[in-house]
Amino acid sequence: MTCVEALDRMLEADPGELEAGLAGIIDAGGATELAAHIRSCERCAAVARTLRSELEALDAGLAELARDGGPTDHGSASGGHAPRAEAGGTDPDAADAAANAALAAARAGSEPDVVPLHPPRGARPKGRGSWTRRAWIPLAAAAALAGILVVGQEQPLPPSDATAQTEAIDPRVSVVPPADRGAAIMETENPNITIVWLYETEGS
Amino acid sequence: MALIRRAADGDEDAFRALVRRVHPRLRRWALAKTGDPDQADEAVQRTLIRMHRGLAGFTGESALTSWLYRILSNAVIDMHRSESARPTVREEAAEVMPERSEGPDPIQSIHAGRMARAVRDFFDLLPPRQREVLELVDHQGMKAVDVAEMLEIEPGSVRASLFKARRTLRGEILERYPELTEGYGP
Repeated sequence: MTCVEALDRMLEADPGELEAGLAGIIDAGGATELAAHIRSCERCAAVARTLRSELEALDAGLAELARDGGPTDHGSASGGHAPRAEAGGTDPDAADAAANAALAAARAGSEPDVVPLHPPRGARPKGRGSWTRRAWIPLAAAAALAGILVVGQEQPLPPSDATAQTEAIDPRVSVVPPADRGAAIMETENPNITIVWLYETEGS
Repeated sequence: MALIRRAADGDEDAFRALVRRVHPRLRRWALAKTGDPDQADEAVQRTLIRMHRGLAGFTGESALTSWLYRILSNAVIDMHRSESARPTVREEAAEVMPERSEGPDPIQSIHAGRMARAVRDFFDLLPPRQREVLELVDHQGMKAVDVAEMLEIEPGSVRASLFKARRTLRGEILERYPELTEGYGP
């Protein structure tokens, strides 16, 4: 692996992979090519160290920001790394205040603008799937019909008022398309609705 | 699970203890999703209210974290629906935040300048989905496949968002240290 390749890989690598290279954790089966390169190349190791340091700063900054939702004066913020959120690095007063507020709201029976929770995958209401299938049946039928009518044509064009010349003759419709277009006529169950489809012919 | 059962049975001390456990994680999730500390607070509060009401029905079939994340996600969606008149994501407020006059910028209040810069990049450079995925995978240590389940998206989408987020953030970092990459070539 070249240094250029290593640099590119470092932009997307798992943080653990960077750490493994910096810590020299190269076991027999788990060493990645990037980790091995970082271990052996001081220039790339310097890049990895900088990335690690900055990403730790991000983690610490987010923890600080999340700690109590506003300006803080915690000692951990002025030096070293703040603990990870899941490690309990929170202001217990803020958590208690949030809990008490939730309890008070629950007692009062108030809840703002709730929509049902997403059901987990595989447990969606049966009606949704049925509705979806029902909605797709006519669409699929129309698509199949269109495919039959324009077979051999790559991309049927939508009707254009400027080019189509139509003449209604009750109860049928006759169409005189432009020279470079073909036409398909689809009658519907509604006698007042007839679909005219103009499309490019092969020579156009 | 015992704590959850006690909280579900109305033991308020158990509920508070449970909230102490989940609150920091919820708040980081909410921050990553909304990009705004005030909205994060509101989302967490809504989540805790729904958590309280839903605990009785929580069977433990899914992880508590996954369950809470879905609640939080819905809370954020509801907020966006009900407060569509005000900016709801950090991107929309990014240009305004440094000059906000109504109070100190929460990010600026982070003491260490390097941390503040990193956090600002996180919010200013990454769209919500990338922030969310980066937070869950790189900071919370979750597996991409579990994150995909939580977010109800494909694992491949999680990885794509993750790699984009990493590349954006790390590229920005390295631009600040040009001496490190001198001589690497095009």
